Amino acid sequence: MENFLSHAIPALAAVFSGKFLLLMLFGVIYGIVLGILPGFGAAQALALAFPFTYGMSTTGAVLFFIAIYSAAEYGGSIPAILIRTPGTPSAAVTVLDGYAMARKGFPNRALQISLGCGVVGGIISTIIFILAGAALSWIGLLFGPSQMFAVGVFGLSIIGGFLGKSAAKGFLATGIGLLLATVGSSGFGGMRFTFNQAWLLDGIPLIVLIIGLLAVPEALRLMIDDRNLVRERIDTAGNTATAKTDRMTYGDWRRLVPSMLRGSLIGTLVGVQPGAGGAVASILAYNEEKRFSKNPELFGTGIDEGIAAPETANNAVVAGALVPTLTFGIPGSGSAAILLGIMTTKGVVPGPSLFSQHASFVMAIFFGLIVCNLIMLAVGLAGAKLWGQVTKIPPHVLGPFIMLLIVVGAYSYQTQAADVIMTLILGVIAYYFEKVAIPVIPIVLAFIMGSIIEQNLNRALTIHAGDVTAVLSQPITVVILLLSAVTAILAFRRSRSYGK
Amino acid sequence: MKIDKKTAELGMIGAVAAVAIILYWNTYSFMPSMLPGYPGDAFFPRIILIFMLACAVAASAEIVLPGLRRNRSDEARRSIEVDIIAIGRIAAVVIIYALALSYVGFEISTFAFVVVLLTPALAGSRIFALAKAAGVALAAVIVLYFCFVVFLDVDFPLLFLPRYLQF
Repeated sequence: MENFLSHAIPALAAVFSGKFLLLMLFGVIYGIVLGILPGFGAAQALALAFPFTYGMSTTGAVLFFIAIYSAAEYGGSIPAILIRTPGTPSAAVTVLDGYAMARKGFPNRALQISLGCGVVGGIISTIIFILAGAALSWIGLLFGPSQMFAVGVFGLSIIGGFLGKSAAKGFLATGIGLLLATVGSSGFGGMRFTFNQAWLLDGIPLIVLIIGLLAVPEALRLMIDDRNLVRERIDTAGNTATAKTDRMTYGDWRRLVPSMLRGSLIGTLVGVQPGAGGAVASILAYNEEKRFSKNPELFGTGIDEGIAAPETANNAVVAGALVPTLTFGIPGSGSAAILLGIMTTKGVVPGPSLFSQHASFVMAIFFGLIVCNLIMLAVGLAGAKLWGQVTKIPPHVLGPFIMLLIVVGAYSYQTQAADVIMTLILGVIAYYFEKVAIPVIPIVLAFIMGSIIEQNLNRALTIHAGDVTAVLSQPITVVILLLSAVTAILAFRRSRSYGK
Repeated sequence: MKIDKKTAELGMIGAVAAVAIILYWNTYSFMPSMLPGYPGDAFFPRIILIFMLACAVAASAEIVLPGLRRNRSDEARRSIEVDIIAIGRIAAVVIIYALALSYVGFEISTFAFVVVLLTPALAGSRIFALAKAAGVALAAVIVLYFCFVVFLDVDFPLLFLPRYLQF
């Protein structure tokens, strides 16, 4: 208990300091606004916010990022409810009942359910996160370099295999990410793929890769593909809703408790699996809720449970995704990968020892997640009318500002035009990759995990005098690698049956 | 410009495979291992490149071979829209902006960047759109100046705005 308090008190003091509360407030507002913009998920919002963390401390940057991450997941549901356009992929299911409810004349009720359930999902999954994270990190401490290498390969097998429609393309993207991570100094004193270019000697900067692959394609899409897009708005003419009926009562909330609990559990479990993400969680939660319901035929007509389940689940993913990220250094989602990137650039190496060596930091994340959700509740309620206005900004007008923020963000890293050009090249490639269904999230995830995997492999080989068979025949390593092989086979089977 | 999706997919995978082959050849110029039997600079990249080539073959086979092909009844007919001119225009504006930053300063280059990209997106007459874009661009310059230069202390090349502000 004394040990717990010795870490908890400084963590609480940090989280509740005025500076960090303000950072989290900014993060929540920024996350909601970016989440509202169609195409901009949490990962894109985080990518654009990366330059703002240059002057921040590690704890400040991480708290700022988890505020954005949580808020963007909620923000995505606002346009899904109001204009039938999900702001994030995870809010796609919310369209079914959220938009139907708004059409009936209850948009505020739908928004209240989305916000309230998102907050509950976030808090429940945070509690699970701290318990599961501590237990998993204890197991992780038993792992050596060869086991950690195998854990990395296992993470890649899930990321490559299940992020996208085709497993082959997903694995190809994973390979590209790993390859990009090898550019620059090798760690053995040599240089790789630098082609005598000075700007490649330090490798591809993480910020350039993240902004280039995640934010640039969205900006190009807004300026080119969506320039003639006309969004459908709700037509509530002829409905009988009043201000009194267009809100949630205490009884309504109580009725939704089982849905929220189920959604939280599903969201956390899905979040723990690398690569699964909020979209999978919300679909699973919606289907399970429909299965549990006594009136499944009402789903899709605008019922409370149809919004509560997916919204709880997609916010629960946030804390769930932090479990593998912090305990094993395997990001649970694209957003978690960026969070991992922020930590490594600030000198904090995620892994099993993080929970013992940086316990106060982990505690700050834990308390920060809860505080972020509470701030989100206050901001969400206070700005209900304002968020509706954000959905009215035409995409082709928004595009130039996003592009401006991208260029300024990339340039401000080292004030070099080369970084902007590199961002642009990566962005255009990613834009065309998305056109031919090559997923770009695995590239980012693999890029971040690449150096961890290579370092552990090299360490293991050095320990075993360069004997590959000795490295790969460790019992735990064999089990994890076999699991990776099974995952890859399942991914290819899913890929083949896709669309049949 | 419209391109058949299957052709575009094969073209992109082929390009990635070609780059992988060239890079594999390039790994022979890497520094060899300092101790025989231990991993050298090329060890990990070669594993990745072989893996990438295998994935490229699998992805191509998935598209070409009927037995492995997914049900592409809808997808096969689809084509993808590639607006090279629009992409090229945006890329040119971004590159010119990035290079102009150090020559004409943050203020003028950022103002011009927003005006050039925003004016065609705004409705109304050309003069009205230009005036509106100029107003918005000015606001954008001020917001970014305060955000990046004043608060984040980023070393942007400024032409006339002060680097430090004392409140």
